[in-house]
Amino acid sequence: MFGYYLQLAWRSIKKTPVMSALMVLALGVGVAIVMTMLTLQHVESNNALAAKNEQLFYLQLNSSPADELFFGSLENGMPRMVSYRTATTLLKSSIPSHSVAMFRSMFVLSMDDADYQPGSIVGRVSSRDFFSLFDVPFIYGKVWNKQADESAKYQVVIDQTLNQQLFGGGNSVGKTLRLEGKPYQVIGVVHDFMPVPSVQDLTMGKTGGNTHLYLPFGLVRAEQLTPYGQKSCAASDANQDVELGMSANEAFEVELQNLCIWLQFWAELPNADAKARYVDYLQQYFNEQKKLGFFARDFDYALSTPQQWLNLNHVVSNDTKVTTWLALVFLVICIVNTVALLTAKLWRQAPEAGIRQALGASRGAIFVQNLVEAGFVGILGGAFGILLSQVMLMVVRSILANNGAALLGTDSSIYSTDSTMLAVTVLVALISSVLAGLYPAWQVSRTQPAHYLKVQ
Amino acid sequence: MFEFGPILRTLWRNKIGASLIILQSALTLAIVANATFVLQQRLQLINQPTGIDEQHLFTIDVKPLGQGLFSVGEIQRDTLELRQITGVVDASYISDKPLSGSYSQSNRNAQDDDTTFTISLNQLTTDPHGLHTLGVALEQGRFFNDSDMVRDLKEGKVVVISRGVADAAFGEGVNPIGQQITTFGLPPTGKHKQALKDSQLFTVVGVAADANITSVASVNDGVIFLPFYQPDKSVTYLIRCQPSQCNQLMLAVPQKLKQLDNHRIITGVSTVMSNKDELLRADHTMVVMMMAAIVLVSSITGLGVIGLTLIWVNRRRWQIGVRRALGATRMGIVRYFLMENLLVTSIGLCFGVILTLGLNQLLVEYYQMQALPLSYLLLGMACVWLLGLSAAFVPALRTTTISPAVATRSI
Repeated sequence: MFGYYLQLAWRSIKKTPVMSALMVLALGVGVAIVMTMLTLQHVESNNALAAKNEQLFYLQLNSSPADELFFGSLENGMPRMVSYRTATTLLKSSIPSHSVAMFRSMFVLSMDDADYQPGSIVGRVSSRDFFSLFDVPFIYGKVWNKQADESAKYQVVIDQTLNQQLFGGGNSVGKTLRLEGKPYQVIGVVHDFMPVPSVQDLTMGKTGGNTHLYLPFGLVRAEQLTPYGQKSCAASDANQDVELGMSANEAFEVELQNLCIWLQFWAELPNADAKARYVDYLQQYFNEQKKLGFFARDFDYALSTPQQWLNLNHVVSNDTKVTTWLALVFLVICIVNTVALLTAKLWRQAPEAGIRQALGASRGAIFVQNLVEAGFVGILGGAFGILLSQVMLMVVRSILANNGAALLGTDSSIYSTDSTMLAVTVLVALISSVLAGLYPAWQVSRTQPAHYLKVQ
Repeated sequence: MFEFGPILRTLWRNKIGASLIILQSALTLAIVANATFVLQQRLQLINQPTGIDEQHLFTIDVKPLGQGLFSVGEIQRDTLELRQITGVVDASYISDKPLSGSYSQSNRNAQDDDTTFTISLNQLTTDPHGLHTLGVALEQGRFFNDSDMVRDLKEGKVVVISRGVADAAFGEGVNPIGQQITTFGLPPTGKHKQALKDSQLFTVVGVAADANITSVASVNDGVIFLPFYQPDKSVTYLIRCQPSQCNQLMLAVPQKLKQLDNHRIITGVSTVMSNKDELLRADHTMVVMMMAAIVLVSSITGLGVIGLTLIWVNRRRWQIGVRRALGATRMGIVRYFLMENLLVTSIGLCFGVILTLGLNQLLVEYYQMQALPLSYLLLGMACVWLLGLSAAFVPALRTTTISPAVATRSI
C-alpha cells in the first residue's frame, strides 16, 4: 500500500510541478538556514575541555579596589584575572591536584641558523601543570621541573607545528632557539593544543589564547616578562607607584607586587570535598590579604567550570544568537507557507479522495495517503535543506578563509557539520515535514464523498 | 463597491487558508521590521565618519633584535627620515594603532561638590606630528612642540585633550586652555582638590576636534594626548600618505627603515582601513545576514501568497464565471481578489505588530539591542502590504481570462 501511495504522491507532484517545487524550496531554505545557524552556534560554543568539565575550575577573586571595578570585569562583578602576587601564593596550595597560573607574552624568535628570518611569536608563560591539567600529551621529552617555575631556567616546550617549522619535525629535545636573542633549550615537544574557542584563555578573543610555544613561569622575574594582551590596574592602588630613581629591577618588582591583574588561574579539583577545602583556603588567603590592606572588598570568588567560563565570556556572540532566533522564526514562516500551500493543493484533490472513499477506502486510508504525499514533500524539502546547508557552510568557510582568518589563527575548517548537527538536521526536517503534512491530510480525510460525487 | 460582505463570508468558509496567510504576514512583519532596524543600525556604524584621515594612513611596527628599549634618538631619527620620503604627508610615533580596537582606556568617577560624574577616555601618547598625521584638526591652543616631549611621564608638563574630554572635565563653554588636569581627565576642583593633591597635574595647552581615533564607535568622552615616548621594546609609526601613494609607500617605508638600521625586525605593515574592516567584520557579516533574511522572508511569503491566490482563483472559477455572467466587470473581479488579499494581510499585520514588538522586546532584554522606533514598524507594515498586493496581483489578473461561459459549462 505504501508503495502505491508513494506512486500517487509522485504523480500528484508531477501534476503541479511549480507548486510542488515551491513547497520543497520553501521548506528546504528554512531548514538550511536554521541548520547553518545552529552549526555556527554549536561551533562557537564548543567546549574543548568537556571531558574534564567537572574537575577544572577557572578562578576569579573579588579583587577590585573599593571605589571602582577593574576594567573588563565580568557580569558576576569580578575581574577576569588575578595579580602576580595572588597567583604565586595560590600556586603553593596543595589542595588542587594541579593548578596553573599563566599569561601570554610576545617574543622575538630567532635561530642560530643565519638563513632563518627572525619574527615575533606569542608564547604562553605558565606553571608546569599546564600540560597535565589540560591533558596536552608530550611526544618527546617532558615538562620542565618544579624549580623552573620559581627561578629562571632557559627552557621551552614547543608544539608539533612549531617543531615542524623550526626543526623540520623529529625529536628536537636538546636543540636551541633564541628568544630576544637569548638561547633557550627545547626540553619537550607536545601535541598541538588549539581549541576553538580557546577556553584556557579567553581574554584575547575566540582563538587568541592558543600558542605554539610554552615557557616556564620562573622566567617572569628574571626576564621581566609582561603580558601581551590585557592588563588592568587600579589608579587607587597604593602599591602601584613606581618611585622616581628606582632601578628597572626595583620598578618591575613593584609591578609584581601590586594589584594589577594580568594572569589566568586554573585549578583542578577532583571532588566536592577538595573544592570545599579550596574555597576555605581562598577565604583564608583573601581575608589575610585584606587585613594587610591588599584587598579592599569583602571576600567573594567564582570557580567556573570550562562550560560556565565559556558562557560567562559570551563566546557565542549576541549577533549569532539574534540571527539564530530570526532563522527559527523564518523556519516557522516556511513551515506555515508549506502548510498553506499543501492544504490548498490537497483540498484541490479532495474530489479524488471523495471517489476513493466512495469506492470503499476508509478515512484512515485517505488520511495515510495524504500524509504520505505531505511527508514526501517534507522529506524532499528536508533533503534539499541538508544539501543547501552544506553549501552555505562551504560559503561561510570560504568567506572566513578569504577574510584572512589564518592571520588570526582561526581555523576555518572547523565550520563543518558534525554528527550531532546532522542528527538535529534530520530531526528538524522530519518534524517540519510531519507538521506541514498532518493538518491538510486530516482535513481532506474528513470530506464527505457525496459532495464531490454530486459535483462531478 | 468594496465587497466586504462577500469577502468576509468567503474567508470565513476558508478559515484555515486565510489564517495561515494571516500568520505568515504577521511573522513576516516581525522579521522584516526587526531585521531592517538592525541592518540600518549597523550600516550607520559602518558609514559613520571617524574624523581621522583613515583612507590615507598606515602603521608599521619596528622591534630591535636584541634586548633593550627603543631609544628616543632612534625614534626621532626614524620619523625625521620617514617625513623626507616623497609621497609622505607626515609621519609620527604613536602608542596605539588607529581604529585597531586596541587602546588604553581609563574610567574615573569624578566628584564635584555635589555631583558624581564619570570621565572615560583613551590615553594616546604621540609626538609633535601626531595630530597632523592623524588628520585631526586643532580647535584651540597649540599641539606639542619638541621641548614638550619626555621619556618619563613624571617629567611631563602639558597635554592636549579632545573637545569631548574638555567638555566633560571643565563643563561646556569653559575655556580649557591653561587648566590643570590629570592623565585620567580629572580636574582638581571641588572635592577633588584634596583627593588629587598628590597626583601629577598637567596643563592643557590645546584642544583637538572630536574624532574616533582608537575605536570605530565613540565609546567614551574622547582622547587625552600625552607628549611621551613610552620606554618600550617595540615602536609603532603612523604614516599619512598623499592620495594614491599608500601602496607604494607601504613598500618604500620598510625599506627605508631597514636601511637606517638593519638590526631590527619590521612587521605589521597595515592600513588603518584594514584595521577598521577587521574591527567592523562582525557588523559587515550582520549586514549581509539581515539583508539575506529580508530578501528570503519576502520571497518565501511572496511566492506563498502567489501560490495560494492561484489556487483560490482556480477553485472559484465557477463562482467568478457566475459573477461575470451576472454583469461584474473584469476589473471588478480583480479588485475583489486584491481587496480580499488586502483584508487578510491587514488582519495579519495587526497580529504582526504585537509579534514584532514582542520579538524586539526579547532582543532588547536578552541581547542588548535597541528598542524599535515606530517608523520602522510603519515602514515594515507598508512593505508587507505592498508585498502581499503585488504577489496577489499576478494571479488576480488571471481571473480576467475566465469567461462568463464557465458558469454555464460547469453545471
